[in-house]
Amino acid sequence: MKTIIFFLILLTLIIGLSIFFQNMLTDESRELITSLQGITELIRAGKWGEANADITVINSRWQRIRRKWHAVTDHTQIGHIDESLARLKAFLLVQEEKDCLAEIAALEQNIRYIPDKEKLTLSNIF
Amino acid sequence: MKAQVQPACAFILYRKDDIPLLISLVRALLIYAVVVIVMRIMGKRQLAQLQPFELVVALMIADLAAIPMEDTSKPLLSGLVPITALMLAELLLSYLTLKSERIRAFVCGSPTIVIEGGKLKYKELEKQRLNLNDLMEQLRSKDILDLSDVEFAILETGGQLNVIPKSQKRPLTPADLNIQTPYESIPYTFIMDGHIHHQNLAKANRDISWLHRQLAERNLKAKDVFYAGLDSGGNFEIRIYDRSENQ
Repeated sequence: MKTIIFFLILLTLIIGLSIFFQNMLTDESRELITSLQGITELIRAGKWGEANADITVINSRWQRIRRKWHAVTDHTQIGHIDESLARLKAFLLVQEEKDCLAEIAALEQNIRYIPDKEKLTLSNIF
Repeated sequence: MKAQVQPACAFILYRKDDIPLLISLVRALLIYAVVVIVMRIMGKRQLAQLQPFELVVALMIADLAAIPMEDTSKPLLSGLVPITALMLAELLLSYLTLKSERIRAFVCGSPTIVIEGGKLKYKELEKQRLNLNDLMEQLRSKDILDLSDVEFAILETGGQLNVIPKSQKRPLTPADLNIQTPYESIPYTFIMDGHIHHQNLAKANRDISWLHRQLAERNLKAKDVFYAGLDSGGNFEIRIYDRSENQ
């Protein structure tokens, strides 16, 4: 009986943690993507100053998020987001619209990939 | 301009997260601790007598532990969660095999008699893919040279061969000669490496004052004793440290 109780407690803990981390990844990636979409609109409107201010906010938010993501995500994937964010900041400073938009699209893809990869789906299992 | 001299031990002065090797060290120690705990939880059977499914679990745990240890880009949890999951599966399966004979037969298989009454059962040997050379080797390792000396040879679910020789070929026992033998109890260890084992004293119906009396009779203290205990005949045995061996 002790074995079964121990088994159930540990199983619940693992499932609970998995759901918590999955929700965390989904919510935080959604927030980041929404913010990036805001920057896209600012770039299209030619508001470079505001876009630069927003990217600083996103960057500091990302620095907080990445610490938590490190616990559950491949660190290489986090490195890709770091690189992409650094490139976007540089493009924003020189006001390169095409490069900025391309980099934002890549960044969104990289961010979206992480919670998608962790989801319990058939394609991820196989 | 004065050149800045770096002391040889400068790396110690760096912030701890600037030393990449420390990550591997900490990860290895953490995983090691987890694997030790997991193997401990899985119980003594896991180490002493591996069933096929237990062997698989042991191999997989070894492999899973190695991945996050050598690849620091992988999160530690990606190794720890599967190890825990395997432990859970193993616990559940052992529990089920303990409770249900059907599941036990399905998971562990059942023992196979390969020699019966001194005769080889070829079909069983073939089914188990056990060739004659391997069988003879195992028999020889049990000091049996002739197949006809074997009453039964049973291939157990864990892969070991148990051999029961014919009654005429069995070693002589006191029972064969109708000899009465004295009762032999389990030996108890009271002092090991100078440390007193109070639990064993209680199990053997002795107390600490009895032990101290035994030591006092020999002008000894517990810290001078390497081993002390009761043998299977109930006699008090004592071994003191031989300091001359270390010199």
